[in-house]
Amino acid sequence: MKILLIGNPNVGKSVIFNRLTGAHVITSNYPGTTVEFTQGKMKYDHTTTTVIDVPGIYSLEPASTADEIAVKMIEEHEDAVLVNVVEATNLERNLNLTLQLIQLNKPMILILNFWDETHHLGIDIDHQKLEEILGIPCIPTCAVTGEGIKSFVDMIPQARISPLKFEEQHRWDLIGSIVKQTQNLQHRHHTILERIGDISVKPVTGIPLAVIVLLATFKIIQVVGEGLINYVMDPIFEMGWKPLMMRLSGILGSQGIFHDLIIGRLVDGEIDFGQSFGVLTTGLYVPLAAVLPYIVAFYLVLSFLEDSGYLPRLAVMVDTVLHRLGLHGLAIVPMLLGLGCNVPGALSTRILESKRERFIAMTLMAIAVPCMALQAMIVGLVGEFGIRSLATVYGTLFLVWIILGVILNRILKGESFEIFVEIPPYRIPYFQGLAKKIIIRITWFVKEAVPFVLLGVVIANLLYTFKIIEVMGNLAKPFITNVLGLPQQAIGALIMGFLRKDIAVGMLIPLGLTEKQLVVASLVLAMYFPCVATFSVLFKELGIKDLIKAVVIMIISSVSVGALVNYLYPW
Amino acid sequence: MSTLKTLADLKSGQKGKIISIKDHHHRHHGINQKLQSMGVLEGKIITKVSSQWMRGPVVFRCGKTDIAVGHRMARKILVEEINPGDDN
Repeated sequence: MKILLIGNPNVGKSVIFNRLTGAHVITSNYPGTTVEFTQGKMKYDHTTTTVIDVPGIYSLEPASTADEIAVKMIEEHEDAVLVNVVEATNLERNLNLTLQLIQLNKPMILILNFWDETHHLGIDIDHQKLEEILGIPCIPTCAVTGEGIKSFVDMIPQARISPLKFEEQHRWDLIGSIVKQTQNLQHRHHTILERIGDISVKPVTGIPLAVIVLLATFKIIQVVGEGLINYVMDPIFEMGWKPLMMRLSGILGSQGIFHDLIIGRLVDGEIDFGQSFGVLTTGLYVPLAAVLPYIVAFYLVLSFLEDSGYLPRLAVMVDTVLHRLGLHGLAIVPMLLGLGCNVPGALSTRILESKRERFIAMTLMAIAVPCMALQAMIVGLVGEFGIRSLATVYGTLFLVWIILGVILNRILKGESFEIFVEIPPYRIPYFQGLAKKIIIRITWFVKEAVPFVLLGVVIANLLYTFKIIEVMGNLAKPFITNVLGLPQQAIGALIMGFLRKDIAVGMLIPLGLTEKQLVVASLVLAMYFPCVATFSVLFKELGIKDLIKAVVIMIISSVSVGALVNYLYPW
Repeated sequence: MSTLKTLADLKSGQKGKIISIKDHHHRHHGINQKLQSMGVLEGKIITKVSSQWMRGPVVFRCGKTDIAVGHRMARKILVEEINPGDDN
């Protein structure tokens, strides 16, 4: 058996999906499109049911690609039971889709989700009456607490085709009459969440709130990240892993090519996880101890912001600025994701409607939105010189983001669209759903990053062993030393930056650079080229022609910024 | 007597009854259609929640739904202003 979960966006469909299905969930792209949907299995009473979470839609008359796919999916699964998830607190709007689904003449069940909220909001819905009118089971649920989910599952066999018949042009009249018969509104005061909702989209209060939220976000990421490093990962590596590696180092003879590849060079007879540069030392330490804690902290905060409903409001607040860059407010979502990792960031630019917007968003992200791996290393390396050097790096990147955006918006042909988005009510995130999402994201990072870092360490060692870095350093010397003011050995980091940024920054550690050199190197590494994983996503999303355009922009901006900062930075 | 205004010209907190939504041809998938499917139709009463400085987006409430639209779009939604006393 198969059931399709269908409903408007933000009606808690995914929470219901999580409740019904186990851990085994597949998210896939609809063939030939970038629209994602999720599928899972529900086991109940010795039967297995396939549950498909269809992308959220307001109507069966498609107004976007995602809508078209949703409609196609409903058509394709002819034998499926349609489960229409409805936001009980917003019955009228949701019934529009319900009535359209009814006209498909398929077995149907209606879920009235957020039932608990109706009480606080003074909404009284007679669900039995609704069931009578629609002729299909209507089940009140509260997906977050799990209330009603079991009754829903029990009712699945009772799904039936609605006998309701009406003429298409009278749909909204019918909705009006259904709402009148089944819903009773009482006057009541606004809830706290509603008040905060209004406050966060009014400029006078919303702008300070946005600033506070963003500052708090970065502070939490910093505190949680540092905490995890200092109290969890560093002790594990220093006290647990290091003695093991020292013993292995002894077994391998403390030196030689093979020893240096696995353990790395010893610093004062000891392993230094930052500098040794062996596969099992630096290669594991960088992704797991230096970067992962920040990734965990980042997704913790971001996932919470997503599920609370704040992001569309932030989009409204930053729309005016993003408008100048040829984007609209919602582009803040891919940019924020990009601060974690550019790969999911670039993928999520799909929420932007035009090719022009996606090009601007991806180019700006690749150049001026440093991923968490890069940031963790920059903070570790440059941070010791205090706030002025970090402020220079972040401030410069932000300025580049703005200036480059304004320029691209001026010179690129085509049109950018305006914002159009529903602002869902604020909701306390559903803990298990949140946890699941965070775990999926972190697992994804570990799987993606660790192999690349290990590979990067191997390649870096080979480049040194075969003196390739030396040769290239000599070739690039005039440019690197004269224009950027860096020692020629820094070419090694610039080469490895193609593969992974964190490894590249790690390669700067043993060079003993000055504050100015570190600031320049960090900026150039951040801007000149995305890591190979991001690069391949850009290639897929933009196509070769636009990718070349983007690369030219990257090179010009990174070199000019690097040279400028080298020339101007006073310390 | 009530006056006709666009959503962009309403003050925050003011209500209006939608008279017409002009075609917004900038998008291939019409916003009008999307607004309709969200229940924003002619004859509905909407409340302006906020607007941002420098022709930024406008947030309005229709029934239980809050929607943000760009300034250009907000100028295409024509409403009949409802004064607080009128109580629709």
